[in-house]
Amino acid sequence: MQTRYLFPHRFKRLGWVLAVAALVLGLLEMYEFIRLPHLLAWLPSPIGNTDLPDVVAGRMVRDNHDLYAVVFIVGAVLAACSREQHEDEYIGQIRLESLLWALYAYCGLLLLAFLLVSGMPFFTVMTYAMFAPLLLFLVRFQVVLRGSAKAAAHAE
Amino acid sequence: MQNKLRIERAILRLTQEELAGRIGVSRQTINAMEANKYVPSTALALKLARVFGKPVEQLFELEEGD
Repeated sequence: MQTRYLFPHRFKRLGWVLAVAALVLGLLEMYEFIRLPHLLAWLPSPIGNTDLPDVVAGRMVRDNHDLYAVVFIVGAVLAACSREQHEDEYIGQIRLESLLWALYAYCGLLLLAFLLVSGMPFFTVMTYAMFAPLLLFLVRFQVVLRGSAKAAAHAE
Repeated sequence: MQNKLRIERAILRLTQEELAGRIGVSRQTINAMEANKYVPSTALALKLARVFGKPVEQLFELEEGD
């Protein structure tokens, strides 16, 4: 039995590159270490166009975080949901267990955030919360996968 | 559930990699089954039985609590 709804294995590496690049650039811009030109200034927003955060040449435009968010989501989904080279039922089980683990971890962290953080800092929590489930799943799945590969390598 | 996969594999002088190749799974899966960390599906158990030429009951054994 194989897990259904997965992308071909060849998308996995591309997914990792996109996700890591978007995550790094997004964090660097979020904490103002770098400032790139408005890469999505050409793209209007069908809803809330008058509330776009930045102004370029007298026109309200999108901030780059929209671009980083989209690239991160696409990349992380490809990295998380592409077949492994030898995708089989055991790896499918690790995948599903990691998904459950990520859900529990996410809910736990969110509970803690509600209890410990209030006011404007909670806005930062919400920013991270948008991407945390994918990140938690990716990290847990890779850790267990590498652990089992290492165990198999040491078995003989 | 206990199994005799490691013993049967040794009798046939197969590596984990070779056994994995014969039944179309990853080497991790063979290792996890031999370490009793993973109980295979019926389809995989039947494939293993075919490779070793023995009925499934001789490869896998229920434990108390299963």
